[in-house]
Amino acid sequence: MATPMTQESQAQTAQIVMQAKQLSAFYGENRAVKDVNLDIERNCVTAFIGPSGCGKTTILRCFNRMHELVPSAHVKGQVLLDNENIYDPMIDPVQIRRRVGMVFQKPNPFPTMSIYDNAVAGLKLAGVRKRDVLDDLAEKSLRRAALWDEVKDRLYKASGASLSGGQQQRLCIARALAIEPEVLLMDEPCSALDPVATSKIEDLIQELQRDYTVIIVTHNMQQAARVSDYTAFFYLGELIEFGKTERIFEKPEKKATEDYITGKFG
Amino acid sequence: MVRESYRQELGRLLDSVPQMGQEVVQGIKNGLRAIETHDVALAKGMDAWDDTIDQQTLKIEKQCTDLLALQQPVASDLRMILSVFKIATDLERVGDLAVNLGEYAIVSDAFVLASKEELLRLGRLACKMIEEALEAFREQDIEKAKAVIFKDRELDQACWDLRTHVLTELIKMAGKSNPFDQAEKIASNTITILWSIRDLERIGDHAGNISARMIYWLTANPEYI
Repeated sequence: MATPMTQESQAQTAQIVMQAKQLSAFYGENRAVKDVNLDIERNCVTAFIGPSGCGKTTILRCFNRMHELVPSAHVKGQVLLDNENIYDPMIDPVQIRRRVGMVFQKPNPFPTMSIYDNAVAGLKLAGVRKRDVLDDLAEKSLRRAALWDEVKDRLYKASGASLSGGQQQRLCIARALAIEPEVLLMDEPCSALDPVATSKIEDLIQELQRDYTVIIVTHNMQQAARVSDYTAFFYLGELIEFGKTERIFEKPEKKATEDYITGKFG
Repeated sequence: MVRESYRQELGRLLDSVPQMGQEVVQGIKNGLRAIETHDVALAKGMDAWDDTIDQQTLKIEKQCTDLLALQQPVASDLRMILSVFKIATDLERVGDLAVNLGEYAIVSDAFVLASKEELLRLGRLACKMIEEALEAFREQDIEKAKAVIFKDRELDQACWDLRTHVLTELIKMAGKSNPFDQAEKIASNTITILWSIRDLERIGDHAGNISARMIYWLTANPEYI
């Protein structure tokens, strides 16, 4: 019979979807991320903040094995997804990228494809061919990305590039969601958007956390404060402080965090 | 507003507390002097002075609101702004209480039931607490702020003792037969002296509040609020 302690720790483990363990990331000889240990809670939004060059985007890219796509880049340590090391030699990185989707800074829909084809592009790559399955998932993901009502009448005629910047970004989110990932990585998803489009994406992030775990890199600290449950502050490749967003922005424990979020440096 | 001017604006907000505080302290001193010397002119002039204190409060509140709306401050900056906002209200209330002291001075023979000197002693103690709270704020000295909070107990006890003394004297007087108009005067005097004691006690409470807010700003610890 399990002791109460064990039950508690099991429950805690179930809440953790991703973990970085002694994670270091390199560009050639340069170590951009240094021995980071970090737990990502399931169905929560975690924000990575820090000044330019602090390693926050690099660590994000380590979470779905995109870092290694950069020539000379490599990783040491572990990243666990549901307790499984995604850097295990037996693991297929393509499978990992399906389970851990990514949305980039600049909306990057396929410009010559229709809205519909953009939404199902990942599914087709994964070999899904049945029209009714594709239709179903296209609608579902466009609805989840809060774009369906705006595009449902021109799904096949309009190209991805004909949408506004904010709509394009939501289309990219829909494309990422269509393959039903567990975790969604967002690398400054609003930095190219106006305030109205930004607030739509922020509302969407709040909605998404019901079904997904979201990790967002942002330069906008107010955005981190608004949308995230947890915040991690990075500086010079190190994780300086990690905790509930409320605590980080109300009473950070580390002076470097305090100095950064209050604008004393960076 | 760029970041440098944001920091300057925070600095100006910080300076506004001791500036306003200094004037409020002078107000308490004037109220006490009006009682001491029965200076009716000084007491009557305090209403206009109180208007300037109210204006300063509004100015500080506006500075806080602007910073909150335009700069989205966080962490110690946010706590500082929230603390200053509350401290400005405390100082504004102390200004009102100083005006009350002046009003009690107008009642010429209010100090039959208690010695004026004892009341002034309490007044000086309350005034000193505000001065020390402001000094602690200016120097960002947490230990000094804690000392003010502890001193409040001393003032509370002294106020309680004086109040007990006044009521004891009143009961003694009640044993004697007093004509109606004299009884009415005694009642009026009793109210005046009890209110002045209450107001001095409240000045001490505000000194404690100022100190507690300052500690919260610097440590994020709300324990003393």
